[in-house]
Amino acid sequence: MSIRFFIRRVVVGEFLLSAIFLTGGLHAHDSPHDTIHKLSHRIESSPTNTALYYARAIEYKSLGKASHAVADFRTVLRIDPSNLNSTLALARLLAVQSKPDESFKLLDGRLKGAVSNESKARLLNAKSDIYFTAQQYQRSYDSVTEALSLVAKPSDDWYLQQAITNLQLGELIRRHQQLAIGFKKSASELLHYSWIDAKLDAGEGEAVKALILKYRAESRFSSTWNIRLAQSLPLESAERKQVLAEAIIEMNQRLNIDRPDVTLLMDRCLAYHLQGDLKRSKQDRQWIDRLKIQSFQVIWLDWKLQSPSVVE
Amino acid sequence: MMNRRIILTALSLLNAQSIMAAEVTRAPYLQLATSDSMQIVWRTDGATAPVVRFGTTMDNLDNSVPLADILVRMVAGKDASGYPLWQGEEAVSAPSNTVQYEARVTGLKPAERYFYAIYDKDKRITPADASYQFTTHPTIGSKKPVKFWVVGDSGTGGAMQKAVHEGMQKYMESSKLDFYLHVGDMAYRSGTDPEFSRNFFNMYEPTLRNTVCWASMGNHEGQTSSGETQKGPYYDAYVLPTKAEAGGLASGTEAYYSFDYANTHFICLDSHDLDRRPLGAMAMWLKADLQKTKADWLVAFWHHPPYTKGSHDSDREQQLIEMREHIMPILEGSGVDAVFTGHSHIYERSMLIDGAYATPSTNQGVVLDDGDGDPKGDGAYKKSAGLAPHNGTVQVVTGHGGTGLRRKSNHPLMSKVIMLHGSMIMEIKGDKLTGEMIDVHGAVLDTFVIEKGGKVTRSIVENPRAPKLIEPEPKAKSSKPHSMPKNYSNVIPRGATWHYLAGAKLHPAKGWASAPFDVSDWKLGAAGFGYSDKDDKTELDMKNKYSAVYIRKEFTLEAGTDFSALGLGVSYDDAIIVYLNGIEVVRRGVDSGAGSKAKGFHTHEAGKLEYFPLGANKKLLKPGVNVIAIEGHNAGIGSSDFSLDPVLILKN
Repeated sequence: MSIRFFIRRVVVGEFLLSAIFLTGGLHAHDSPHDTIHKLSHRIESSPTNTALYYARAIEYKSLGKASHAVADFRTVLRIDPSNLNSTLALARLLAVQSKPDESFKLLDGRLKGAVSNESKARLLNAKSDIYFTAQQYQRSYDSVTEALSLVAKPSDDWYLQQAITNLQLGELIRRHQQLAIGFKKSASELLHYSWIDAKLDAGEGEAVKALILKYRAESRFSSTWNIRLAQSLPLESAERKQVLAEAIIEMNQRLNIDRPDVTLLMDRCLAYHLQGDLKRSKQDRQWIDRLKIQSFQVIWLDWKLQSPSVVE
Repeated sequence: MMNRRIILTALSLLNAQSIMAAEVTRAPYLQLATSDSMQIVWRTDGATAPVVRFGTTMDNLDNSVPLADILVRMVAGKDASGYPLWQGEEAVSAPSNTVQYEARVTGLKPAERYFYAIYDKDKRITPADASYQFTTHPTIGSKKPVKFWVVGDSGTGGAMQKAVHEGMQKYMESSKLDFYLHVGDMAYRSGTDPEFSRNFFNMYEPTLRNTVCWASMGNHEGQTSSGETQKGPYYDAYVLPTKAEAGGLASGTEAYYSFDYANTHFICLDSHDLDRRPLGAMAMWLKADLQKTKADWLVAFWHHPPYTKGSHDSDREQQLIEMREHIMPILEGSGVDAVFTGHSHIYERSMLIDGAYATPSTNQGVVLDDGDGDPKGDGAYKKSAGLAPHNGTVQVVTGHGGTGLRRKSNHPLMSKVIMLHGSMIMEIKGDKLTGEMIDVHGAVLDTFVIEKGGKVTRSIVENPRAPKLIEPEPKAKSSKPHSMPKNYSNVIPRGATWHYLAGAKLHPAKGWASAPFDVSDWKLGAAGFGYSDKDDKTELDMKNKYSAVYIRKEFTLEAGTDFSALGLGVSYDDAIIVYLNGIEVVRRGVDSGAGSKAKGFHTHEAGKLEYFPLGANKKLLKPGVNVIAIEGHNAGIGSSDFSLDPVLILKN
């Protein structure tokens, strides 16, 4: 996983309550540049108002000015070391800047003083992210699993992160078992579908074949379900070849060749691989690389492409 | 918002003292409509014994919601020993005495109208008023038409927000919305609980009591609410689907969701504080949701616009770029028809486009139809039946709902850019989707239609047209109205009789503003001309029929008259072109053209007479008979009023 993967996560969920203390002077129709200008002006007269620094850091982030954002988050923490949102945002930005040790130090320091389970969970989840980047998968798994145990309604992302660490650790059965827990808690169909994928990856395709057929029948576009169905069928079966061919035809009709939907491109890459058309599969994988998309899903795709069980 | 329902608790356990003191602090409003259920939400500033009664006639509210179906929420840490109805569900952001009730009305029929009333035990809280009603969604997949309001960036609590709301009400008159979409920034400045109450619930109360608002979170609400934790005033205010209660695919979160209304599928995304990457959780859910839907129409909405050059720039800001580069390919690969956003404080409406994901945005290779989409203009946009991938999308930035407007430049993919406050009324009926931009007077300033049928093969338009811009009348020195002079004599007095031509598709023949001209088939009427604002002597039937009126009158100037003293006083709404002996001498509120070819109207309110000196045109005048002719235009055919009330004078 690249550094780029994490910079996108910094914007997630870090805004709560900061602006309650912003009083007056910021017009609703301002662009980020205008807002930064006005915040800077107000900081001159209120140099200890952490909300102003935090708000400016967020604006810097929206413009991709990470170093400016880091400086403002640091200022917030100098004034108010207990500020959770700034801690999380800064830790992730430092990880992006290849300073994981500084990130861990920051998060561990804040964990010692964390009172609520929600705060602890968010800090642990951030640690899991950074461990994953450092390819310390067991620690990443431990952190996210502890985070999941602390809150009643975790984000889907946390379960998906736990699932990818399980994949990296080779824990394929535990992976689908824990995704099943996630689905029961959140009711998110995304986790349900991820659970189906995990069952297929664990070689338990027969157990989910009926479910796949049901969902395929309910869907307008069937390519994703046909790809899943193919994985539940014997390698040499005619039905497997047929459903993969149908999936590729449908995806080709939907893909914009100049600027493809990455989710479809990833599906087609896998479908070609399952078909045994390794040349086309490789071409699609290289295309995904050129789009510079980093995600758990891409890591999972690479795992699928390397797996001998799916190559004819 | 948690969906757990409280266990039925005996009403008799309620603390009577706390019940007596409670008052409604957030009036009842509707949420989470389905084809067989509805949520009614309200707040009091102390405990009550909540009762919801409903029925299909106003006089017979013979059904009631079981207490087990009323979720009670209070502030954490509250001593609720006297109020056992509270089972610990929090309203995290509310004032400390707040009790929020979320009543789930179930067992309803599809597309059926119900009336309701809220009680505190036996005391009726809502008045006996027919406006306290709701209509359930039709059965998913049915072909019932839908009409909905779209508004964004409105939550100032100010006059413009109020005017935009009233403009929609004027336009709708007695007809009813099926629901409305808010694309975010509904509670400036920071989306706090008091700001929600003041700038959203109080402002829209007459609409919210009978119309469900499906919301997406804006960046201002995002300052106090979090998509990740689903906590804060925004999440306290709304009851949104997490388990596909209203159709679509269960997202497990209120931050993004989908619902169906008849044969249209609606998708709401969180563009503010969740992962917008193409393989992030939200995008993967979106992909799965789009695979599943079998609707005929697809509408998506969120806050940050993929295409704008209003108060924000979609080529420079991270959220906007990511929604365009990462999310739009998924939506267009599934045949999305229209996307509504806000954030940028302007009205921008695109041509029919596909594949415009590049940064910076360009109009080359991505425009499928560069017309205006107006059946009365260049014609409707055509698409294949059903949801055809990459068959064209219309993007609408509706960030003009109440706060200050701004434009950086013209976005190259836009067909129409309007720098006036307003909102959208959308209608989907059969194979047509119609979008109308409504201004604060209820006038339609932009119309586009998408028509579906058969199989439409798209080709790219080379070098598409530039957008059309409508701005408020410039406040240049020349346009500043003059007051009437103190001393003058009338040439044509106020209330004089003029010849006038008014009617649907009625425009005068060439030379109508000159003398001589045959006006034998014109009518005669006393000025002023117009409708609706009680300042007209000659009432016209213009509304929704025609938008232009022509008047002319001969007048005599004696030899020796100082022609440079001639001047026109006029009260007008919205625009005029004035001619002396056939030559244009005054133009206000019309950008170009005249008569049936007049274009680019600006709104203007009638009031006191505005004075236009005509002395500079004295060479056009002659002793004896002269002619003054005026064409008056309404900015929109559905405008709430029209006025044209002239007087011709000689300044002493």
